[in-house]
Amino acid sequence: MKRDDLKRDDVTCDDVELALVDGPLSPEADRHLQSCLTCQASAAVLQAAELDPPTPVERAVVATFAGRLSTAWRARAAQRRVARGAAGYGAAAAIGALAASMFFLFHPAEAPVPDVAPVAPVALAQADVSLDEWVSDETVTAEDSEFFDVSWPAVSEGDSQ
Amino acid sequence: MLSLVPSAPTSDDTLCQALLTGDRAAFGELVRRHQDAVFRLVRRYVATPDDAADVMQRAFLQAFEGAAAASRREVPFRAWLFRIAINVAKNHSRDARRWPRAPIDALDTRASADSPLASLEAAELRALTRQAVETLPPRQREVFALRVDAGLPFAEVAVALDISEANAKSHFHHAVKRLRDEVQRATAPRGAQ
Repeated sequence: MKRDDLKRDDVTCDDVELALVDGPLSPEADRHLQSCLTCQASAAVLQAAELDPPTPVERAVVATFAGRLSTAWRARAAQRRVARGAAGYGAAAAIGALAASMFFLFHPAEAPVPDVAPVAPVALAQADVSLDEWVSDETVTAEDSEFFDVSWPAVSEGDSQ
Repeated sequence: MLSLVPSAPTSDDTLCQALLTGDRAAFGELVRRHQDAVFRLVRRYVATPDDAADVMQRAFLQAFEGAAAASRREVPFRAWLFRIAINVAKNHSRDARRWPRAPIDALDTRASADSPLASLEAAELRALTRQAVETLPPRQREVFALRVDAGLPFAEVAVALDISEANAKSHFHHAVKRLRDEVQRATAPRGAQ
């Protein structure tokens, strides 16, 4: 309620009631108060409801409050740092476990050799040429060279003339 | 170069931002600005000065920790602080099952120019009225405490309680009327009750 609003002569009980807590009333509001029993009762109640001034103990509490609060605030900040550190380690461990699982997903270990009974070798068809004879230079004879001889076509072969 | 023009005081929100970065000067300034009003507010809800300090501490700590969120919601720090303070005080009062002070404790021991009878009557009226305040409906009591004890204007009371200013004034009006009726009923002659 603005003080200027109470300069009107038509001040109401509501106006006075709202202004009582603000301190000294305007002359108009004060005139209304002096003539209104309801507003006088309201003023008495509001004055009686006010708490007593702070005691010396209470004043001491307020005087030392900032220091006490500062200590508590620093303690909370330290707790938050510890909590963040623990959360960080937990997150790092989780990321490491995830990375390891991804690695093994794309690089699976060799499948273990199944434990099965050995299979008896099946007899193979007789080869036309013995492998030992094929690779051994010492056994190549003239007759063999004919087998291995590759007849290159003549240079002019195939030329259309 | 000295400036002859006094600089405007730093806003609470600016101090909060600095506080959250560890600025101890901002911390001290915020506490200095609001501790008296917060103390006046919580006094009515607690039984001892130690309880008042405890409630104040919890209120400030919660307000500082939530300051960033309050800023995002565009709630002024002062209103945010008082909203938290009144909730913490109410919870404390409920948990402690606080009873009104006995009339003898509320007697004003200051020297008075009035007669002893008048002083006793005034003391009894104070005790009676304060007891009636504690029986107000919760919202009326909150508005009453913020307006009368903490000295907040109705506009700030409204922001602190997240209600309209008109609603805050209405609650105050009903609280005063209820107190007036309670005192009148308690002080009326027995035949008239």
